[in-house]
Amino acid sequence: MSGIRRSVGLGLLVVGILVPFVPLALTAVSSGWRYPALVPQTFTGRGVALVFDPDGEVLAALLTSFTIAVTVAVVAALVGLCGGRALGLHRFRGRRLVQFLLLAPVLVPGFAVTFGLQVFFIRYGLADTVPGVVLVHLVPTIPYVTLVLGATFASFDVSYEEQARVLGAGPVRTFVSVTLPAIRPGLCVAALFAFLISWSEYVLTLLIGGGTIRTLPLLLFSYIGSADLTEAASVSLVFALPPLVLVVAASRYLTGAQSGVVGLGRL
Amino acid sequence: MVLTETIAAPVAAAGAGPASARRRWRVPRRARVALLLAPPLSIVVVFFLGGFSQAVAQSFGYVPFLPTGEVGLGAYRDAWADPAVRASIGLTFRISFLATGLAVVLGVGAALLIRRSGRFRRVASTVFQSTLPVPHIVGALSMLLLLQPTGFAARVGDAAGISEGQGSFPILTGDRFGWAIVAEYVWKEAPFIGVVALSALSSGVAELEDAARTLGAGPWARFRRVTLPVLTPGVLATSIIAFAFSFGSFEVPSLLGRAFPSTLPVVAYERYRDTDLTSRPQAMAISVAIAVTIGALVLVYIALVERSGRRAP
Amino acid sequence: MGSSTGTAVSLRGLRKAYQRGVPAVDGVDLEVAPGSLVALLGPSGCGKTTTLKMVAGLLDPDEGDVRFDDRSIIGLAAEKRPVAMVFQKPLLFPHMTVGQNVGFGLRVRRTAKAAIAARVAEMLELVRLPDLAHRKVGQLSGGQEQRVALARALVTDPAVLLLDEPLSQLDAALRIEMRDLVAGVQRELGVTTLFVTHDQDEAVALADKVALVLDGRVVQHAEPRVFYERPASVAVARFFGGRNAVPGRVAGGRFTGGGLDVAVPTGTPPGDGTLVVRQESLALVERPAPDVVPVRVIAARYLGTAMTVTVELADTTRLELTAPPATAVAVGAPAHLHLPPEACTIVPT
Repeated sequence: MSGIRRSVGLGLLVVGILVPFVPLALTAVSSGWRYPALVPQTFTGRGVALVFDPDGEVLAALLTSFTIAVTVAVVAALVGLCGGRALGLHRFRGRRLVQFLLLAPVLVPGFAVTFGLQVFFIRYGLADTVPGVVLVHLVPTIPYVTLVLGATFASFDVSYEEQARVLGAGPVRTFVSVTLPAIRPGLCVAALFAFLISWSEYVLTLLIGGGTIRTLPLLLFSYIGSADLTEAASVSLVFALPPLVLVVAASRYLTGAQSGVVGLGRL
Repeated sequence: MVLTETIAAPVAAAGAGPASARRRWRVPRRARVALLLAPPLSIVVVFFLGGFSQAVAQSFGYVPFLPTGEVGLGAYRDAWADPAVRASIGLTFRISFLATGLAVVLGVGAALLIRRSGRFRRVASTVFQSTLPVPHIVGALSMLLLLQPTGFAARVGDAAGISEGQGSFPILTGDRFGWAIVAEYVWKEAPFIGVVALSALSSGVAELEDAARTLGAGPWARFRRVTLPVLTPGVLATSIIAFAFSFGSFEVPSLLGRAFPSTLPVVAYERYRDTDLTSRPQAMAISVAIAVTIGALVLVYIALVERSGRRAP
Repeated sequence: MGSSTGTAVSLRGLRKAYQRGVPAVDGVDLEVAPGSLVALLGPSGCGKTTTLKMVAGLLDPDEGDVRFDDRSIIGLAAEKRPVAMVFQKPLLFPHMTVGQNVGFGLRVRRTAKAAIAARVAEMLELVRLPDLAHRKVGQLSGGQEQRVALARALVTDPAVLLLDEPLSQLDAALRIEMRDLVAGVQRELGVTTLFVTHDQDEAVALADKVALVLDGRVVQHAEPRVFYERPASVAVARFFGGRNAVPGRVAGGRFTGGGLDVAVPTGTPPGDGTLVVRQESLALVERPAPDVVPVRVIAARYLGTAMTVTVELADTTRLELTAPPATAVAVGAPAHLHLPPEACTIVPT
């Protein structure tokens, strides 16, 4: 009896999660789908052609998005390593204040802050440039990465470093061969989410990039506004695929990183 | 005493040699902490606090690089008096509360279900988590294609005989209530809350439930008195994150909602992009109000995390 | 639930395999007298915890029966069985106070509040933790946690108390203190108790009877001293720290082997057999006498409170004995070993 109920529940769960993907995938390949047919009447490769057009805007946007997100992930990881070490390994006065300061940008929507910043970005020539967009993406990502690495360092035993030093390793050698392997899962999760947050960011890119820096979400947004949703659906699939692949690839690290899940709330 | 001296002597002799020349100056601990914290904190202070205080200043009527006009609470008064903003406040809270509440119930329910799904556990939890990395814009487009009047749900409804052709299916997108917006948030946030619940469930809850069983607690008593209370702190903290996100998200209501009433972030954005620069202070005022609301939630979140005795993530 | 008279527990042919063909519990038979404390002793992974969980109802046996006062309780859900269990970890509910934890079993039975409070106070008194009812569980020490867990288990007056290595995570001094507490409480309440442990000292000190479990079966069930004096097999003797086992034959009322020739009790079956004798039963003596065999001292190790001496028989079989620490021993020299026949047991080879 409860076995049947459980199966029904699981079935509903799977359907509820997967059903929204069905019209998206069908729309991406349909050229004619009159109401009220359940499946499209005619199919097209137009969406695929649009995405893979070597001179097209989709590939260009993909490249821009990728460049920005990778830069953000690398910078955020490097900065986060410093802050995370301080938070995780040291007890100091004002630690809670620091934690609050870091948590706020993760949760407070970025546009509230960017409204105030935009004038300055324009004034100092950062508006409408890739560095400007990277900089504004760092505002939510660096605090997040710092907090995740803080939790990672908190469960790292410094005695390993002391052991390495006693065995004759210098500070750099100790960091590379002892510390880095130990914190790698946390570092991977943090950098992954920094990448994903930057990859999915829309408003901040729009405000600072001013429409000149066209990342995938900007392009997708304008396609959704147009009448032709086949193109929007195709671009959607290209846009959603890298995050899915990355999260699956990192899934074995994700289960161990409790603190990392905050990032999921922002995606 | 004699013993220490004999041992100390050779060390002192060696110290006079080349070793002492390489003795490094060690950075004091406090300075080290400050140095380590400087990079992330400078970003937060300059860009986050700086941007936020600029938003506050501009909401009071101060405009950088331009001669300052009238300074005061005018923008807040105007925004509060505006029926578009009034309607937006109710809508934003309603959508956020409804979406978060549904996501908590469905997410925790799904986690409990998945935990007991035996050999389907892996598949079920993978499917369940598949929406997590999907960007919200894609989620919004999916909901649009699913729920719009000619969407997939209406087609299935017609085929199943529940609805009868165009116009008979309930309007779920661009509606006054914001059903599609709620649906998108639930679709994304329920798995988020579920993942946290699942990891809490897999860490020792089963043992506590066994202990409760041997003490005579039946299934319902175990659930109500053991499982649920153990899940509460983590789920509560997660639901605050989910609430904060849905409260401050721009893309989803902008794609799935209507122009009036719209949620606060959309209204703020519209005011900001208005060609009439005089509505900018209002945009700032609304954003500041959103940020303050969420900031208060962050404080509640930290208090909850500390009370449950865990490290803040 | 009749704890004054006690409940008889009977396990019959219990079997359980987590994986097909790899039995964790392989036919356990055990009779527990009403009101007694039986220790299920065995190395880790021998199936003793699995057995306990089947009695608790947390696991269903593949085969066999569990009977309380000769009534089968198989098919009865764990929460319906008149048992209480204390686990290896205290498993106190983290969101409740000490008092709420102890009162849990009564609250789920919808007992009146005043009655719960009185009973909780009584139980905390019993485990010598009065006035702690309002403490949060996170503020307790390891020993206090286990005492609260014990109080929580006893609060519903269970017919059978199951203890799954409740002391194994405590440090040595605390473990002995807790052992006395458990023994005292059990005797005071007279509740039939099954106690799982891997520590033979603990089992011997606590239990009325010990059931030694090896590879999913009860290999010997007896009073503690029997395991030292009349072990059922070489494995049992070894588990209890016995160092000496000499293979040989029994014929005509005597055991021969390893250069020994010893009289055996009447009734010992003839044929191949192994002589087992405790190192504490052997002694070095000054001169030849009855039951004394010539040996050569191979090694001697001083242990502070005693001395371990290894000697070699004529055919190079080695025996170990425990001697007083002041014994004068010359390594390599011949000596005389007293081997009392009544201390020897012949077990199947």
